[in-house]
Amino acid sequence: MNGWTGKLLRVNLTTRETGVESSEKYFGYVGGKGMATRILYDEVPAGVKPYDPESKVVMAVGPNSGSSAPCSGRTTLCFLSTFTKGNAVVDAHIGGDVATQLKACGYDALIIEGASDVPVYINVKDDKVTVEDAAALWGMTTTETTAALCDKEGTGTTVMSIGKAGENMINLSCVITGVAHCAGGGVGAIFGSKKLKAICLYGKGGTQVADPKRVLALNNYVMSDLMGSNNNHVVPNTPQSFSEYDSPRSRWTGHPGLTWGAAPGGPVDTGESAPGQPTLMGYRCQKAVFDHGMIAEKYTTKMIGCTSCPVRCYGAVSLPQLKKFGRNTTHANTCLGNNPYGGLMKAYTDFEEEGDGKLTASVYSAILADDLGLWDNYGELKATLNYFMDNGYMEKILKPEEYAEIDWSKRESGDITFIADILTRVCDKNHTLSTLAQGAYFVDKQYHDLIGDDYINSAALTLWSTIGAKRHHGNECAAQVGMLTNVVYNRDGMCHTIVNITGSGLPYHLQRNIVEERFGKGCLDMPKNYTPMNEAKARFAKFGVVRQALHDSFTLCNWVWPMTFSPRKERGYKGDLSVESQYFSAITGKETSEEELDFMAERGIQLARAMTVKTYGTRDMRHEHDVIPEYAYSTEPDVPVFTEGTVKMEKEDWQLALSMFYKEFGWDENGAPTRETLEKFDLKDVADDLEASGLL
Amino acid sequence: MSKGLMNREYTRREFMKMTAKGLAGVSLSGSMLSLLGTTLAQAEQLQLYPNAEYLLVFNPARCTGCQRCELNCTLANDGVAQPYLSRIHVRDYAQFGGDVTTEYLDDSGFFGNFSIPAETCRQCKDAPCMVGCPVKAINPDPVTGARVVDENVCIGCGACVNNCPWHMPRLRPDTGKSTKCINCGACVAGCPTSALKMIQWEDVATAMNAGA
Amino acid sequence: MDNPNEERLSEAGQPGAEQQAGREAAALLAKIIYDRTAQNLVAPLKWLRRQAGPGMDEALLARLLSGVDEGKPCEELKDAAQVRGRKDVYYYSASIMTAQFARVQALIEDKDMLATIAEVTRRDCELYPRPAPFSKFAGYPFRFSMDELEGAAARMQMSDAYADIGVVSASNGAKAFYSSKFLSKAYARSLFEEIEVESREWQ
Repeated sequence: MNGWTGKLLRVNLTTRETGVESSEKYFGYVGGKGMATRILYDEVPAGVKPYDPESKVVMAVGPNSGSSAPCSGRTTLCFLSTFTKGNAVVDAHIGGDVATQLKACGYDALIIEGASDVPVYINVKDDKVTVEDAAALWGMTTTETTAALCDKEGTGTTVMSIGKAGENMINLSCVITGVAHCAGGGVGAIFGSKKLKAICLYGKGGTQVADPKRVLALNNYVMSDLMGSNNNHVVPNTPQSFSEYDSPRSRWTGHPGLTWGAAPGGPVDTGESAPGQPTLMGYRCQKAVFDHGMIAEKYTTKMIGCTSCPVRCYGAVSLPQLKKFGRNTTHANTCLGNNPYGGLMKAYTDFEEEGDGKLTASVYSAILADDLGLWDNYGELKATLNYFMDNGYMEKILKPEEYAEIDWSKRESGDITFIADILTRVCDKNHTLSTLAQGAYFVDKQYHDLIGDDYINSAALTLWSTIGAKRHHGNECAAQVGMLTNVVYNRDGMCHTIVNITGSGLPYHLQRNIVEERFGKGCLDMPKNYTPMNEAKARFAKFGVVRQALHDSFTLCNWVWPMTFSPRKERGYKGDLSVESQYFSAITGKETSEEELDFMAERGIQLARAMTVKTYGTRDMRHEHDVIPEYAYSTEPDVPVFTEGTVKMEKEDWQLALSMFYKEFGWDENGAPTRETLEKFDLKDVADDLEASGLL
Repeated sequence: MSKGLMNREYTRREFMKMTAKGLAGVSLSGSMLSLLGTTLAQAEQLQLYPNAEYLLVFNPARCTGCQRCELNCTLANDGVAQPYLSRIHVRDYAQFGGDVTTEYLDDSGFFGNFSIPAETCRQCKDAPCMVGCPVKAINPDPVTGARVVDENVCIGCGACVNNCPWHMPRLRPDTGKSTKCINCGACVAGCPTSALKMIQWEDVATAMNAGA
Repeated sequence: MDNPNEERLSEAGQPGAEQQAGREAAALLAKIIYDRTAQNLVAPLKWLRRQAGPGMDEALLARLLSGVDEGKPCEELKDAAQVRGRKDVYYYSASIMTAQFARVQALIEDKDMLATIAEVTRRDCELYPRPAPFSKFAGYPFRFSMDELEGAAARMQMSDAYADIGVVSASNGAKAFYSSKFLSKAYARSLFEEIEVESREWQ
């Protein structure tokens, strides 16, 4: 079979039985997110809670995963949210080798069900699938677990594991694979509830493609003519000889004179990597320097990333000074993962030069969190811990002996072992600090008498919704457009389609001209100067999430795709939004248009929204789900809304934005899918189900 | 032997004399460094595999472990993206640089110092895979010089895999037949950091003659 | 019968050789400009004069470059382009360098720091729009020191030619130049906060 493997692997942890079934009935959902969401709908009844044995985790890939297409190394995990209101369906995404290996083992999806009484790991070697004892692994860090399992099962084994956070069922926990590749959303705690320590994958098979030559040609086209750097930033960060434009926001950071300063054998210059040079494009993104500043140059060993990705967005650093803290001295990650908890400190003690204390704290905290398998929820956990520390709530919520045993002065004095003192207790279910890692919605519920309405609505927390979901991304990119992309999610939206456009580095007028051609006049406002809602923006926002769903289903990395823009002047900087469908056609052999593929991706969104309605037991998504916190309306108090210098939201305009967005999706004024819409997407059974529950 | 082949062989010998003890301490010209894609300091890192056809250069400091070479190799040669079949092996060395040692945090690989000691076919002169094949299924290609498996002759005994010091040939999971590198260059063409280079001897000769 | 063309050539003799020498000089000049451009630099006219070796006197160089200046270059110099700076004329190979980067390099070669900052800042403010961070000028290819930039900012305040150039700060203390011709100070500050703080915090 081309693209898909056509097989689902089911592992029951209660009975330790495994089985293989056909995956063909889910092809209409593309794969990945769509497929996994449908399986969860079919198999986990509403009312089941995430830590119940009836709860399941579905890991799925799509026809593109492992095909060699650039950025096709992503896997989607679908499960019940541990940390947001209603524990409704969410998906999380993991990179590394997982997608390629799940495909190589011969499966489109792995369904994990039931629960074990004792620690176990799932061992998948092609069609040999076993559930093995993991008693000796329980309590180990994710790094130790990976080393132990690679030693036992083979050094090339792909290991996904949980740490203490997952074992102790801390809501904000993740699954880690390779170095720092993470599936968040609380899935680590679900693994923990099932006593599932790890999954091992090693496959000898592959991804069959219908037209290999066409796939190779597409790879060359995409890497030569369409791709820029991370987030598809299509202009370099600094002026360079090949470029007309540059942008200080661009992650195309490599340039002559900037090196991998700690590369074995001496510095490697990142140089110029002009468009049309696929064999140099891995030097464009220099994320350690971008995230930590120039001080990180001399500590940078190289850039790494997921299988098949030529962007390499993980800045690999080596900090010898970490040795004295008894930790690994090397780490690699990107974006917030490069500094998840360094910000818990009020001061940093420098080691050898100004600024190396902060850098060390950042990397130290990243290593620690990954070893614990603790998920940062896009900075929410750090923000919550700081909120409780800064407002004097710690003394009020901790037991006196708990409060006394922590040396709070380290926070001010710059002793970074403070971060370990806090995070290890956060992962200890018996310690009150762990209650702050429940997710903001549940923290607010537990401590509402103490913290009132301020916490959940605060700019410090920066949620997109009071369901406890972080803004990632929101009104800071394209105002209403960015904020709307969150609506279809029960966690942080993670939609990068829009922010990749606004952050591309191209001048505003070029960005606008290219996107207006597709979505209509007025779809993209000036940065930090936006206008009231219009239908073009609703279309643009819908495109953003539909493509994201497509990428999470196909699979492709939405942190780079789609190719809205190009670094090529000859193309007028216009990308090609039909490439996904070209890949789909070349890989599966089923000629499929852009519109047809988008429609299949939207099916998964419609289903997830219907599942949220069912879980919430109300159609009133507008008032129960799509509620943005107060801070979003009140930033820059001196600057009037719809003028230069603010992206703060306006209450009536947000309601109008929701109405227009709902209309684009065929939802009613409550924001719930109608029967007509569900049937359009062949979801008649879902409509019937909602009707039977009095929700249609 | 044609003039071209003779020049190639002469350059190869000269180059091998020059680099007999590795690149440490060898005075390399700017043209040569540029051809090898390295600085003088970095040159010590390079793994050089001269064969009759070309000079193969791998720089573990530049390899970022993306495994695009493995995917491209198999897509180009087998019509399927199947890393296990790849004639360059990255995946098995990416995480721990090979076997997991007790000192893995200081060893190579993602969990250590990020150096990735990938292995690829050297097209050895007296290739153990070729010499040890009981049915003579591996022979030099008359045009490229690569040691190529004739899958019609191969009996799938695995002697080539065992005889190769780096176990480069792979037995196809479906047919059991051996498959190995044929010098097609798909891996090189798809490496986003130019960690892998196949340099023609003609170019080496030019760089050697160019001086500083 | 003798070839009439051949006869004419031998009669003309001298001019043909001169033409040949001119073509060789043009090819050499093109290579000098190309090699300089390949190092991400432009070739100042003054520098080119020094490069002119035997077979390329000042007059010949001037004649060849005037073709480039007038947009009517000879075949060998078709790829060459020029950008006029304040202190010199600069040449580059257009196939491997954009006019914009050549402009930046010309500013750098002119060694007029205030003019460099002003021109880049005005372009950034008008085009993107956004202010131009000090860190942009501290990095490749400008490489000014932060002290130099602070000094420049102070000197620009005292000059009518740069009356439109001001400085805004972000909440992390970083600074940027902006031009009041294209951005209000408040808008510039807000855009700089986005570049410097917000887009990094919310990646």
